[in-house]
Amino acid sequence: MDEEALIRAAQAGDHEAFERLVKQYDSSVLRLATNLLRSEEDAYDVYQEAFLRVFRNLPKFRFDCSFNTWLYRIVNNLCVDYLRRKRVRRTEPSVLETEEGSVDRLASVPDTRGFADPERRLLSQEVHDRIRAVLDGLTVRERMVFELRHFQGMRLKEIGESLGTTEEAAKNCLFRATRKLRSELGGLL
Amino acid sequence: MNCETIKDLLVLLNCGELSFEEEETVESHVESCTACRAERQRLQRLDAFLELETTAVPSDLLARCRRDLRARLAREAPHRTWFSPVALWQSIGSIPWLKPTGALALLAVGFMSGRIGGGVSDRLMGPGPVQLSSAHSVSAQTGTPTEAEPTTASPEGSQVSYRPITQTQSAAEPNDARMRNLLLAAINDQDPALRVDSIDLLQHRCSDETVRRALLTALKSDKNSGVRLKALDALRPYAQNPETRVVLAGVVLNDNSPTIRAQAIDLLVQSRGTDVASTLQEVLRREENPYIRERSVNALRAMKASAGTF
Repeated sequence: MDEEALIRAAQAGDHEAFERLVKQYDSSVLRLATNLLRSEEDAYDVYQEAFLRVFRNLPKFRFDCSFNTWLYRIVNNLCVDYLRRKRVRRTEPSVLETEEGSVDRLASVPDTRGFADPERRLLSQEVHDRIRAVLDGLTVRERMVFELRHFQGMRLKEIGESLGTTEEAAKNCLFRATRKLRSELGGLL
Repeated sequence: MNCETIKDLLVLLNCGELSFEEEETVESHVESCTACRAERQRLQRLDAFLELETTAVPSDLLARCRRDLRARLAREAPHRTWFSPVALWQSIGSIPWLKPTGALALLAVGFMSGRIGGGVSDRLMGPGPVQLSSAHSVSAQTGTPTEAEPTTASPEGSQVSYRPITQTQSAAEPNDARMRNLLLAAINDQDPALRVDSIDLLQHRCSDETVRRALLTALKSDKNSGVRLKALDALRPYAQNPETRVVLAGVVLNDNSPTIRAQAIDLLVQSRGTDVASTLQEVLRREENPYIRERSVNALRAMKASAGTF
């Protein structure tokens, strides 16, 4: 069954078709949310909320855009909300001054991004830290565009549509994000 | 076109976002401009670094997400109208000449159902018997996955069969042979999350030869690297078993995931078999991944075996 037939079947209430539709996209959705939010629990929440919204609103989906774009619009909106909330939380200082000296609270937070992979260990800690610092420093929009382009392989046109903006604006976000990374990693490239 | 513009276009070139003409312009500029050529190489190295940043989705997280979504959808389902006039109208709308005919047909249905009383939806969703059957079930007797056929019997003659996304749970003693068969069958399910869960439940039963062989098959040939990794973990206590060592050697040499190859090397080294050194030497002959090579060299050194002749 092709995707359109699957969507129409799911719209007509076929649960099996809906489940197949979910399975076509859910690993990518979860990877995007995990990459962006850097928290498995937040990614879990985004996954659940995104597919529940898809389930509830699927009867209203009219094929005006691709299903992929529509789904990522939902996922992106949810991730943007989470990222903005995170930014607010991040204004708390990470380093606390105590009687025994400075304590970095972030140092005690377990990294949930699967650093046990050998490939990851290959990447020198310095490069990895710098990339991470730059990505964290990007605006929410730049970050979304960069993740969708580099890690999800989406086209800029589609990214623009799913973020509710133009291809040109997505392109500019990508330029800015790349320039920042280039300048921060300068000597290492 | 100046170098600043080309530098921006190089970003798009790397992403495959340029038209044929733009690509030609950039390529011919880069050929004659050393600075832009260097910039292109830097961007390619940046891409290589970013490639390493790509995270794999943890298979247990994906399994948990799917399981919980199924449960939540099952709770949502009663609020969803199975007979969806909107969806039906949309389907009709995709065939232009059918729309007026469809409108008349819907009017007729509405009129007739009003006359009869109770309406179409009462007939469809009413109190008559509705049998729910899960989309996939596994026969406990044979352990063979089967597609369930939804059947209903209703004295009124109006029936609806549907397949909800629900989780089927079974409870049994760990040593129950039927449960073991169910789990063994689930290792071949099309859903990788279910395969991972099954291996998770079976991993304490690797002393059972059938279970161990099923896990070895999963490690050797499952298409999903998460499943293979789970099988590898489950087989850790049996690394010294000759059959396991043979499979591990094959994985070390042939698996397409460097993560799995690296972990298989560790396990093989722990097994202290006499054939480990020759396997690692073969790795050094074939392997391109520098990390795996380094790991093999270190293991060979620790075994005081030769690594330098390659």
